[in-house]
Amino acid sequence: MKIRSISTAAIACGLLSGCASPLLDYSTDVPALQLRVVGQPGVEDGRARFREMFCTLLSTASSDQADVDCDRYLVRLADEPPAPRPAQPLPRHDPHLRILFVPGAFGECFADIAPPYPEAVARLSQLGYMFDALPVSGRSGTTHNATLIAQALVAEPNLDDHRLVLVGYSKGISDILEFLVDFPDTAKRVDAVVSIAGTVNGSPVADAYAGAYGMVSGIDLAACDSGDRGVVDSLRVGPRMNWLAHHRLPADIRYFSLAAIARQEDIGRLMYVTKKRLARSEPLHDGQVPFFHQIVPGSTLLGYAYGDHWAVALPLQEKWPYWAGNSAGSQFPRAELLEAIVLYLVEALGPEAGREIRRSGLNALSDHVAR
Amino acid sequence: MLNYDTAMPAQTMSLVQAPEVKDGRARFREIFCALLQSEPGADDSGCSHLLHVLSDEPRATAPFRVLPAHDPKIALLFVPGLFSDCASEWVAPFRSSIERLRTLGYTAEAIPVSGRSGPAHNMPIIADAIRRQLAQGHEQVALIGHSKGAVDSLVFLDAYPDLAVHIVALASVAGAINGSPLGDALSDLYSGRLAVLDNSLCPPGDGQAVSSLRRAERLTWLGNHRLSGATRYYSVVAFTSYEQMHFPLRVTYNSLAEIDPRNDGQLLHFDQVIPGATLLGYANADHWAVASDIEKESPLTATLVTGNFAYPNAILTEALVLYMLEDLEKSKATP
Repeated sequence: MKIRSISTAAIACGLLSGCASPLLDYSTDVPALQLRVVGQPGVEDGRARFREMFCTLLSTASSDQADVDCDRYLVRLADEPPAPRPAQPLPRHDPHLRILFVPGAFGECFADIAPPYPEAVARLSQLGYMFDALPVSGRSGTTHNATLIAQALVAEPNLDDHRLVLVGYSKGISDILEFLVDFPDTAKRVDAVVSIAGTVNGSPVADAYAGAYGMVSGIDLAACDSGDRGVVDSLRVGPRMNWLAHHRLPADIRYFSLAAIARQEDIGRLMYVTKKRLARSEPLHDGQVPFFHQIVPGSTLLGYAYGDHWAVALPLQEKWPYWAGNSAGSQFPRAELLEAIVLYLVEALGPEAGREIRRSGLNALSDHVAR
Repeated sequence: MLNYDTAMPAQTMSLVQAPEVKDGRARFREIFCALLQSEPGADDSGCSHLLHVLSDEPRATAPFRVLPAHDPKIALLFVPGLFSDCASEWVAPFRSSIERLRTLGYTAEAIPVSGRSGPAHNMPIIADAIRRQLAQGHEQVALIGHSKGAVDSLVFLDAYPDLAVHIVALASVAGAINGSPLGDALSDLYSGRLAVLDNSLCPPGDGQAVSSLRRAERLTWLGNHRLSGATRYYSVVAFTSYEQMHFPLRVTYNSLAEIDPRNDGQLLHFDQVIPGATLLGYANADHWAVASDIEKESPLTATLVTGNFAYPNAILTEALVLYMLEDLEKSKATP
């Protein structure tokens, strides 16, 4: 009998060792998770209100998205709170937001063909919002880009009646977080930071391909030079989590996180290799970053967009329908997503009162960013 | 995708609103290393090798604080994990720890939970053991759970609030707090082919042992339950390299390594910490070595089957108990 037990155990071991399928299957029957460095703060849950805003916008959209089930575009994990009752109306737009977008890895290389959120920027600009992308280096590491962000902000006119919001997409959030810590005086101008599909904890994809990228990182391209060549290396999980462990984010800034998740068939074909590899470690990912790496410590969690890493921010699918497209043929309503984020910020940051008081103690910027 | 590398900070896979984990690594290292050095034939070389030094571990306080005193008034109950009763003929978790603590005057016992059952089956067994201690005059009890034993203990505390007030501490040693991806991968297999495991080795119980370790089940449970405030929580994490792993665990190590190579052959490092607990340290040991002495209890098995990868787990447990006592004393002074 003991031999039978041992043999059945051996079968189990054999099945595992020859395991062709990942240990975990794609399932949204898990709560929201954050891989958190010990000592870091937890996260506030803003999912219910954000869903309400996003779905209201989607239902009133003039495009063909209006009839689509909203849950299709926002993943509902097991612990998402129910919608507030009674339903809350959308807040009124308040264009006193200065929104600066920090693109992700290689964003500079695609800035002309796929600028972030083109539809939303057009609409929000019409409403009076000031929206620009900061010129960070697409192929440089986070430290280099933190300096570029600081330089751009110093050059930015100080609009006392506007709140300054930095929106970091993908690696853009890592650049922003380093900027906030490296340039604390300049960072005092920032009211809020939003992460979209952010590489907050880095990505195992960077660990897997840092070596390969290192072999070609010195090659300048027409659209983007090689920068300091550190783009991939700075996104490895170890360096990013060590950075988080050794730095405290400024406490007087509000942080918001929107993560992205998609099934394999809804992820762009060009991400075939990365999505296959990520699926073996964590099936809830966006083709580039596992879902639990995308949350800023101490932030308000807005939700989980159901789209791949590119679709939630960039119009690459429109430019390259086959390679950036996916086998399911799905697209993501980016415009409504960004507008919902902006409206959430308007509501969360509240009225202007108090802002001047907080700012009154701040003098001219004194850190030396032009190093 | 990730390499085996200890140049990482301590981290936990947490529900987004989970309470913060406290860092007790510096003092725990101090206690563990002092105990180790007081062993006959000890040298200075082993301590940093036996407890991983991660990149963010605080330095120990200087000068060295004396070891806290033992307090055998607290009864120590050990809760073993998955399939623990199936192998007890050869080796049992915490056997060396229990012997060591008894020589120090403690009432120390292993609770005979069912190794093939889920927490619902094991809760009343734990409750009975607690009641026996209370009947014998032990007002304070500490639970020390290995692997799934930590899960059974957490679920017990939630289900028996009248008994939970007597549990001053719960420590997890390689605790399956968030479950394990292996639970997801093997639960169907276990409820099918492996359900016919030899019942003479260990009773079948309710058959929910493996499925209760699925990640979604454990995380959902944590999300829906607030841990007892009367109890203080401590966690010791285990992980080691493939080369330091008992041979049978290498298969599952490799499966888990696709997620993170910092695992103990059964659990990932970031799944082993109780929310809101004090993190004591990272044992450089696999899932078996951190709690069991295969090499001592069954040398033939070690030679022929598992390999020799002994770890001073009894000293680790004593250090855990001492840390716990010191912390409980401090908590009385500053509630």
